[in-house]
Amino acid sequence: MISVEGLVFDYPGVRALDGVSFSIEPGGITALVGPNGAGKTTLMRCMAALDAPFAGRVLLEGFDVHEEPRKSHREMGYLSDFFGLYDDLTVRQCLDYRAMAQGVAPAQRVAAAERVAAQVRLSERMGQKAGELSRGLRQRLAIAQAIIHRPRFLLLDEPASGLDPEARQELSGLLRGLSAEGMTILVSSHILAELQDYSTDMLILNEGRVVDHRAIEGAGAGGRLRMMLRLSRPDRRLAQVLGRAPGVDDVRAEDTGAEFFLEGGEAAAGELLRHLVDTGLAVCEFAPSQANLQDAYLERMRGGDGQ
Amino acid sequence: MIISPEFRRNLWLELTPHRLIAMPVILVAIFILSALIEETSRSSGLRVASISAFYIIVYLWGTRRAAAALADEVRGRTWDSQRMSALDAWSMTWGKLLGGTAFIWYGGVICLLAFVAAESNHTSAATAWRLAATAMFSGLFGQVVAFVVALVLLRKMPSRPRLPVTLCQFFGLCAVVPFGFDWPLIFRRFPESAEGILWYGWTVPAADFRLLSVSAFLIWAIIAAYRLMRVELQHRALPWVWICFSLFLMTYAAGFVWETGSDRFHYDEGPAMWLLTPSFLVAVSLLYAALFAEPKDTVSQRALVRATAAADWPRVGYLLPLWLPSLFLLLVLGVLLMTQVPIEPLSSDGLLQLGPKIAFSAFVVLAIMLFVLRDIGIVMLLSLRSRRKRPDLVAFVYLLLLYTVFGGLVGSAGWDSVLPFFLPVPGDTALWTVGPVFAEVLLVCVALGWRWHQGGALITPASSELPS
Repeated sequence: MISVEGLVFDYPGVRALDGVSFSIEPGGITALVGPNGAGKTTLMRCMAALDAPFAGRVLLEGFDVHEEPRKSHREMGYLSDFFGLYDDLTVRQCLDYRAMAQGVAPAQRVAAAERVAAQVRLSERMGQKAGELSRGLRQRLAIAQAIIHRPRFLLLDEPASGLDPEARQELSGLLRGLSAEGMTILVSSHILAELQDYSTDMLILNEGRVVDHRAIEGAGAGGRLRMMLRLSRPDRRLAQVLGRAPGVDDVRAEDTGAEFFLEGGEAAAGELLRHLVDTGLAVCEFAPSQANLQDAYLERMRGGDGQ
Repeated sequence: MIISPEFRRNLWLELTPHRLIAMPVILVAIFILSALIEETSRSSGLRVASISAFYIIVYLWGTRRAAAALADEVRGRTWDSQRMSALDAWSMTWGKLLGGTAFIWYGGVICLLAFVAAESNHTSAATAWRLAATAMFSGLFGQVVAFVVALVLLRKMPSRPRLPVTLCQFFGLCAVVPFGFDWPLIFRRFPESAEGILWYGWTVPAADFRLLSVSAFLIWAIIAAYRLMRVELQHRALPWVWICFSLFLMTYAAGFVWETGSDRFHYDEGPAMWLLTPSFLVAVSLLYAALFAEPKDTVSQRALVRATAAADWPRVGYLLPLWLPSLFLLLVLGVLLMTQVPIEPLSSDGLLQLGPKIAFSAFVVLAIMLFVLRDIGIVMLLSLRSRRKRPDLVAFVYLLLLYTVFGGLVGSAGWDSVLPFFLPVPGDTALWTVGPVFAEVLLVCVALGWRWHQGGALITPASSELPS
């Protein structure tokens, strides 16, 4: 649905993005992670056609967003990490203005405002001025403004920053709901544990380059599982047996255990376990890995310097 | 979309019930007071008070509000979300311009109606309405100019959290001054001028000329605002509008010296001469305006070099800084002018001793072109220093020092032979008129090349080859 091809972006004296390429399939929630200064915000701004890249392009449904920025904005929603609201307008006016600005048909504007207000649970505050809302409520209003035109692609830059745990929980639920409606979402955040709640994919950026782009195991994307097994007695054949097994890749094995990825979900896991036992390996533990997003992130940041 | 969403949003913010009531109450109170104070003629008191209030509200406050319509978005961090909207550039431009100043014009129209009512007692209604139209267009022009300057500054300093509204207001007020005031007529201190303005041989009444001029400049200012807004909304723009405006301004300026050139120049050639000289001077002025107005960061320069190297001409077109077409125009006009003026200087006393008249020779024209090239080099040299703050301001101060302080010092000390180093004036010989500045141009070019290869503009990419 959206693909980034060889994106290069420079600030004077600094290369912020260095040949970034990836594509995001429709419907998922991709977590954009990386250390401070990795280029996450710059990437999002380029994808949103707010900043023009030095080289490369961003294709949304086949058209270049920088060739047709207005058209792309009808299909996109973007929430900056430092967003602002019109404090003197009421919630209803903010949403009405945004609907008008995004070209929502006049007959549908009121319904659109009420729909998104209900989605972010602001229906009771439509008459309240934006400047009187708490930080969490302002965040909700900003998200409502970003999605009022039902964009197919939503970019959220640090949406959970400054929110209390309860508001974060609500945000997770909201994003899952939007994803279930078919919206493709790219979210950047420093809070990896929270991203794991709702993300289906992870895109790691470091020093302006893509370090890793993968489905998050257990998220159900294509049934790809990260597995770990342990043997009750060492066996040198382990790596060889796993390497030849269908659907298994990225094997890291020792004589007493291994970690690997398995395509095909739980059915394939059952088949593989049967095969390992039949081969004579003394399997005493075989399960999806409990490694979380943070582990995966740290692992890639320590080991990988680009794909 | 008939009503711009941006206009409607501004109306929500600007025209609150409190403001709608307060403005007429205060203005009417002022008008009554002024009418009562002026014992001899109450309409005179009302006339002065209403037009003065208009100047304060529309010129002084309005130029500030027009710039703030954009600056408030930047400060409130709402500008990005506006840029992410589906609003087109025209809707955004007029929505902000008229919406952001809606309250100003609410008060301004009340003042103008009072002025026309009072003025009609002294002159014809047509004259009163013409004055009101001129004041209204002048106010609008000043506001659009302030808005344009805000857009220019936004492009130059995208990471700044605030835009300098006062600077925008200053430029807006500067734009108002030539057109917006007609004190002699308003205060009846002097009889109405019967002479008028001589333009391309036609004598046009001064008031009519001001109205026509400000209308024309207002249209150009609106076009400029629209074009800059398009760029801000990431649309790609070619420099045709700038070239057309340059040609318009050259044609406009030439009209003033068409038959009066001998009053201003130390030569008396034909109409082609009068057309070329003001056009050349206008080209010089516009080049400096574009040079300082355009962003000159290293990234855009490298992007232009890369697009040129790749012969990607459409991309070159919209990356082209506006001072480059201006330089092309200037060089063409300069060469044409050199063929029309005497080769040798008419006076060896130097330009400063010639009084108010301009004495161009072919070598002085060449020297002007070389000084322009030198100045472009200095500005670009300072812009290539990526860590330097406000390189344009530094360059402006350096050039000001070179032309005024150093040039003035040398001139006042009587060292006329050294003057060609600092000013485009006739030297002892034709060669000495252009030689010093030619050496300066070479020096700046060497420094520029050194700076470019030093890494001022270059970033070594992590990958050896850039993706296409």
